[in-house]
Amino acid sequence: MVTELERMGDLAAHIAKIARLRYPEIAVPETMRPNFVRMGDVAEKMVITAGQTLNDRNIQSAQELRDRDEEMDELRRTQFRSDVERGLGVRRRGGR
Amino acid sequence: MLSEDWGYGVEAAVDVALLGRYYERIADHAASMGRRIIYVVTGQFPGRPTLAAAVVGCGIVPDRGLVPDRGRFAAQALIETGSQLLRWVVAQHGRQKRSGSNDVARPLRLETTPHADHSLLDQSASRTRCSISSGSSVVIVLGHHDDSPSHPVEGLAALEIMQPLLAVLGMVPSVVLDDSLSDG
Repeated sequence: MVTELERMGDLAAHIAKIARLRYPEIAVPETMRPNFVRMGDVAEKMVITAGQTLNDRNIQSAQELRDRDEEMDELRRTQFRSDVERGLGVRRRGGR
Repeated sequence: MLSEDWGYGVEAAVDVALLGRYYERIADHAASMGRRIIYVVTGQFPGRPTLAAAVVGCGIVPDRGLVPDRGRFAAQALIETGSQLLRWVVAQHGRQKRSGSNDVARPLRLETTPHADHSLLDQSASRTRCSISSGSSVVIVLGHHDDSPSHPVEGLAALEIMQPLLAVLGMVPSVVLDDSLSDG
Protein backbone atom coordinates (compact mmCIF):
# COMPACT_ATOMS: atom_id res chain seq x y z
CA MET A 1 0.00 0.00 0.00
CA VAL A 2 2.96 2.30 0.59
CA THR A 3 4.04 1.86 -3.02
CA GLU A 4 0.54 2.69 -4.12
CA LEU A 5 0.50 5.89 -2.08
CA GLU A 6 3.87 6.77 -3.55
CA ARG A 7 2.71 6.17 -7.12
CA MET A 8 -0.40 8.27 -6.58
CA GLY A 9 1.85 11.07 -5.36
CA ASP A 10 4.13 10.71 -8.39
CA LEU A 11 1.20 10.78 -10.78
CA ALA A 12 -0.23 13.87 -9.13
CA ALA A 13 3.19 15.50 -9.54
CA HIS A 14 3.23 14.56 -13.24
CA ILE A 15 -0.15 16.22 -13.65
CA ALA A 16 1.04 19.33 -11.84
CA LYS A 17 4.14 19.41 -14.04
CA ILE A 18 2.06 19.47 -17.22
CA ALA A 19 -0.09 22.25 -15.80
CA ARG A 20 3.00 24.29 -14.91
CA LEU A 21 4.61 23.67 -18.30
CA ARG A 22 1.63 25.19 -20.14
CA TYR A 23 1.08 28.10 -17.80
CA PRO A 24 -0.41 30.64 -18.41
CA GLU A 25 -2.20 28.57 -21.05
CA ILE A 26 -4.36 25.65 -19.97
CA ALA A 27 -3.18 22.23 -21.09
CA VAL A 28 -6.61 20.78 -21.74
CA PRO A 29 -8.59 22.18 -24.73
CA GLU A 30 -11.81 23.83 -23.74
CA THR A 31 -14.13 21.22 -25.25
CA MET A 32 -12.57 18.48 -23.15
CA ARG A 33 -12.39 20.44 -19.94
CA PRO A 34 -15.61 19.27 -18.28
CA ASN A 35 -14.50 15.68 -18.69
CA PHE A 36 -11.11 16.37 -17.14
CA VAL A 37 -12.55 18.44 -14.32
CA ARG A 38 -14.70 15.46 -13.45
CA MET A 39 -11.73 13.09 -13.68
CA GLY A 40 -9.70 15.29 -11.36
CA ASP A 41 -12.62 15.49 -8.99
CA VAL A 42 -13.06 11.72 -8.89
CA ALA A 43 -9.33 11.11 -8.47
CA GLU A 44 -9.10 13.57 -5.59
CA LYS A 45 -12.05 12.05 -3.78
CA MET A 46 -10.64 8.55 -4.30
CA VAL A 47 -7.27 9.46 -2.79
CA ILE A 48 -8.99 11.04 0.20
CA THR A 49 -11.26 8.03 0.61
CA ALA A 50 -8.30 5.64 0.35
CA GLY A 51 -6.48 7.51 3.12
CA GLN A 52 -9.50 7.62 5.37
CA THR A 53 -10.25 3.98 4.73
CA LEU A 54 -6.73 3.02 5.69
CA ASN A 55 -7.15 4.99 8.88
CA ASP A 56 -10.55 3.74 10.03
CA ARG A 57 -10.56 0.30 8.32
CA ASN A 58 -14.01 0.88 6.96
CA ILE A 59 -14.93 -1.91 4.57
CA GLN A 60 -17.89 0.04 3.25
CA SER A 61 -15.78 2.91 1.99
CA ALA A 62 -13.18 0.46 0.67
CA GLN A 63 -15.90 -0.95 -1.55
CA GLU A 64 -16.96 2.53 -2.63
CA LEU A 65 -13.49 2.91 -4.13
CA ARG A 66 -14.27 0.20 -6.61
CA ASP A 67 -17.43 1.97 -7.76
CA ARG A 68 -15.56 5.23 -8.18
CA ASP A 69 -12.86 3.46 -10.16
CA GLU A 70 -15.53 2.28 -12.54
CA GLU A 71 -16.74 5.85 -12.92
CA MET A 72 -13.19 6.89 -13.76
CA ASP A 73 -12.82 4.14 -16.35
CA GLU A 74 -16.06 5.31 -17.92
CA LEU A 75 -14.83 8.90 -18.09
CA ARG A 76 -11.65 7.68 -19.72
CA ARG A 77 -13.61 5.61 -22.23
CA THR A 78 -15.72 8.63 -23.10
CA GLN A 79 -12.63 10.73 -23.69
CA PHE A 80 -10.86 8.08 -25.72
CA ARG A 81 -13.90 7.39 -27.85
CA SER A 82 -14.27 11.03 -28.87
CA ASP A 83 -10.55 11.16 -29.74
CA VAL A 84 -10.69 8.09 -31.93
CA GLU A 85 -13.88 9.19 -33.65
CA ARG A 86 -12.23 12.43 -34.65
CA GLY A 87 -9.24 10.50 -35.99
CA LEU A 88 -11.36 8.17 -38.08
CA GLY A 89 -13.28 11.11 -39.50
CA VAL A 90 -10.15 12.51 -41.10
CA ARG A 91 -8.95 9.22 -42.47
CA ARG A 92 -12.26 8.75 -44.30
CA ARG A 93 -11.99 12.18 -45.87
CA GLY A 94 -8.36 11.64 -46.81
CA GLY A 95 -9.27 8.48 -48.71
CA ARG A 96 -11.47 10.28 -51.17
CA MET B 1 -6.74 13.81 -31.30
CA LEU B 2 -5.28 11.74 -34.13
CA SER B 3 -6.69 13.90 -36.84
CA GLU B 4 -6.10 17.17 -38.59
CA ASP B 5 -9.29 18.75 -37.31
CA TRP B 6 -7.96 18.35 -33.78
CA GLY B 7 -6.79 21.93 -34.08
CA TYR B 8 -5.11 22.28 -30.71
CA GLY B 9 -1.61 21.23 -31.72
CA VAL B 10 0.58 18.28 -30.97
CA GLU B 11 1.47 19.48 -27.49
CA ALA B 12 -2.12 19.61 -26.36
CA ALA B 13 -2.76 16.17 -27.84
CA VAL B 14 0.13 14.68 -25.90
CA ASP B 15 -0.90 16.51 -22.75
CA VAL B 16 -4.44 15.25 -22.96
CA ALA B 17 -3.30 11.69 -23.57
CA LEU B 18 -0.92 11.77 -20.62
CA LEU B 19 -3.32 13.52 -18.26
CA GLY B 20 -6.07 11.06 -18.98
CA ARG B 21 -3.69 8.21 -18.33
CA TYR B 22 -2.40 9.73 -15.08
CA TYR B 23 -5.85 10.29 -13.64
CA GLU B 24 -6.87 6.80 -14.56
CA ARG B 25 -3.80 5.33 -12.86
CA ILE B 26 -4.42 7.33 -9.68
CA ALA B 27 -7.90 5.88 -9.55
CA ASP B 28 -6.57 2.37 -10.14
CA HIS B 29 -4.09 2.70 -7.28
CA ALA B 30 -6.77 4.04 -4.94
CA ALA B 31 -9.08 1.16 -5.85
CA SER B 32 -6.25 -1.29 -5.28
CA MET B 33 -5.71 0.19 -1.84
CA GLY B 34 -9.37 -0.39 -1.15
CA ARG B 35 -8.97 -4.06 -2.02
CA ARG B 36 -5.88 -4.37 0.16
CA ILE B 37 -7.64 -2.77 3.09
CA ILE B 38 -10.50 -5.20 2.72
CA TYR B 39 -7.93 -7.98 2.85
CA VAL B 40 -6.29 -6.57 5.97
CA VAL B 41 -9.61 -6.28 7.76
CA THR B 42 -11.33 -9.45 6.59
CA GLY B 43 -8.54 -11.81 5.54
CA GLN B 44 -10.24 -12.16 2.18
CA PHE B 45 -9.58 -10.58 -1.19
CA PRO B 46 -12.81 -9.20 -2.65
CA GLY B 47 -14.03 -11.17 -5.62
CA ARG B 48 -11.73 -14.04 -4.79
CA PRO B 49 -13.35 -16.17 -2.10
CA THR B 50 -10.90 -18.46 -0.42
CA LEU B 51 -11.52 -21.86 0.97
CA ALA B 52 -10.51 -20.47 4.35
CA ALA B 53 -13.21 -17.83 4.23
CA ALA B 54 -15.71 -20.35 2.99
CA VAL B 55 -15.03 -22.83 5.75
CA VAL B 56 -15.26 -20.18 8.41
CA GLY B 57 -18.34 -18.74 6.78
CA CYS B 58 -20.00 -22.10 6.95
CA GLY B 59 -19.80 -21.92 10.69
CA ILE B 60 -18.22 -25.31 10.90
CA VAL B 61 -16.13 -25.60 14.01
CA PRO B 62 -14.19 -28.78 14.73
CA ASP B 63 -15.91 -30.95 17.34
CA ARG B 64 -18.95 -28.67 17.42
CA GLY B 65 -20.41 -29.20 13.99
CA LEU B 66 -22.52 -26.55 12.36
CA VAL B 67 -23.11 -23.32 14.16
CA PRO B 68 -26.45 -22.14 12.79
CA ASP B 69 -26.06 -18.40 13.24
CA ARG B 70 -22.95 -18.43 11.09
CA GLY B 71 -24.75 -20.09 8.24
CA ARG B 72 -25.66 -16.98 6.31
CA PHE B 73 -22.37 -16.92 4.48
CA ALA B 74 -22.35 -20.59 3.78
CA ALA B 75 -24.37 -20.80 0.60
CA GLN B 76 -22.40 -18.09 -1.13
CA ALA B 77 -19.11 -19.62 -0.08
CA LEU B 78 -20.13 -23.05 -1.22
CA ILE B 79 -21.17 -21.89 -4.63
CA GLU B 80 -18.10 -19.86 -5.30
CA THR B 81 -15.55 -22.35 -4.13
CA GLY B 82 -17.23 -25.23 -5.81
CA SER B 83 -16.86 -28.91 -5.40
CA GLN B 84 -14.13 -29.05 -2.81
CA LEU B 85 -16.05 -27.32 -0.10
CA LEU B 86 -19.26 -29.17 -0.75
CA ARG B 87 -17.38 -32.38 -0.28
CA TRP B 88 -15.89 -31.07 2.90
CA VAL B 89 -19.24 -30.11 4.33
CA VAL B 90 -20.68 -33.47 3.63
CA ALA B 91 -17.66 -35.11 5.19
CA GLN B 92 -18.05 -33.10 8.35
CA HIS B 93 -21.71 -33.81 8.44
CA GLY B 94 -21.07 -37.47 8.11
CA ARG B 95 -18.65 -37.41 10.97
CA GLN B 96 -21.15 -35.72 13.22
CA LYS B 97 -23.75 -38.27 12.34
CA ARG B 98 -21.44 -41.06 13.24
CA SER B 99 -20.76 -39.54 16.63
CA GLY B 100 -24.49 -39.67 17.27
CA SER B 101 -25.52 -36.04 17.62
CA ASN B 102 -28.74 -35.96 15.60
CA ASP B 103 -29.30 -32.25 15.70
CA VAL B 104 -26.41 -31.53 13.36
CA ALA B 105 -26.89 -34.57 11.17
CA ARG B 106 -29.93 -33.24 9.36
CA PRO B 107 -29.65 -32.53 5.66
CA LEU B 108 -28.59 -29.08 4.68
CA ARG B 109 -30.85 -27.01 2.56
CA LEU B 110 -29.09 -24.21 0.77
CA GLU B 111 -30.71 -21.42 -1.15
CA THR B 112 -28.50 -19.95 -3.77
CA THR B 113 -28.67 -16.45 -5.12
CA PRO B 114 -30.45 -16.16 -8.49
CA HIS B 115 -27.32 -15.15 -10.36
CA ALA B 116 -25.16 -17.85 -8.87
CA ASP B 117 -23.18 -20.06 -11.16
CA HIS B 118 -24.72 -23.49 -10.97
CA SER B 119 -22.11 -25.32 -12.99
CA LEU B 120 -19.85 -25.81 -9.99
CA LEU B 121 -22.73 -27.11 -7.95
CA ASP B 122 -23.75 -29.47 -10.72
CA GLN B 123 -20.21 -30.73 -10.83
CA SER B 124 -20.15 -31.19 -7.10
CA ALA B 125 -23.46 -32.94 -7.07
CA SER B 126 -22.16 -35.71 -9.23
CA ARG B 127 -19.35 -36.40 -6.83
CA THR B 128 -21.07 -36.07 -3.49
CA ARG B 129 -24.34 -37.03 -1.88
CA CYS B 130 -25.85 -33.84 -3.07
CA SER B 131 -28.81 -33.17 -5.29
CA ILE B 132 -30.11 -29.99 -6.80
CA SER B 133 -33.82 -29.48 -6.56
CA SER B 134 -36.01 -27.28 -8.70
CA GLY B 135 -35.62 -23.54 -8.66
CA SER B 136 -32.56 -22.21 -6.96
CA SER B 137 -32.38 -24.36 -3.87
CA VAL B 138 -29.88 -27.08 -3.23
CA VAL B 139 -30.34 -30.07 -1.02
CA ILE B 140 -27.45 -31.99 0.36
CA VAL B 141 -28.71 -35.38 1.31
CA LEU B 142 -26.48 -37.24 3.65
CA GLY B 143 -25.63 -40.72 2.68
CA HIS B 144 -24.55 -43.46 4.95
CA HIS B 145 -21.39 -42.52 6.81
CA ASP B 146 -19.51 -45.02 4.68
CA ASP B 147 -20.26 -42.74 1.76
CA SER B 148 -18.19 -39.90 3.11
CA PRO B 149 -15.97 -38.39 0.44
CA SER B 150 -12.65 -40.07 0.15
CA HIS B 151 -10.67 -36.84 -0.10
CA PRO B 152 -11.87 -34.32 2.46
CA VAL B 153 -10.38 -30.90 1.97
CA GLU B 154 -7.84 -30.03 4.60
CA GLY B 155 -8.82 -26.46 5.26
CA LEU B 156 -8.95 -26.50 9.01
CA ALA B 157 -5.84 -24.43 9.61
CA ALA B 158 -7.76 -21.46 8.35
CA LEU B 159 -10.04 -21.56 11.33
CA GLU B 160 -7.29 -20.01 13.40
CA ILE B 161 -7.95 -16.69 11.69
CA MET B 162 -11.67 -16.85 12.32
CA GLN B 163 -11.90 -13.60 14.23
CA PRO B 164 -10.79 -11.25 11.43
CA LEU B 165 -13.00 -13.08 9.00
CA LEU B 166 -16.16 -12.34 10.94
CA ALA B 167 -16.37 -9.05 9.10
CA VAL B 168 -16.97 -11.00 5.92
CA LEU B 169 -20.35 -12.08 7.22
CA GLY B 170 -21.65 -8.54 7.00
CA MET B 171 -20.67 -8.25 3.35
CA VAL B 172 -22.74 -11.02 1.86
CA PRO B 173 -26.40 -10.20 1.48
CA SER B 174 -29.50 -12.30 1.01
CA VAL B 175 -28.10 -15.79 1.29
CA VAL B 176 -29.94 -18.14 3.59
CA LEU B 177 -28.83 -21.42 5.00
CA ASP B 178 -31.54 -23.42 6.62
CA ASP B 179 -30.50 -26.63 8.24
CA SER B 180 -34.01 -27.79 9.04
CA LEU B 181 -36.48 -29.48 6.76
CA SER B 182 -39.54 -27.91 8.37
CA ASP B 183 -40.62 -25.89 5.35
CA GLY B 184 -40.24 -28.81 2.95
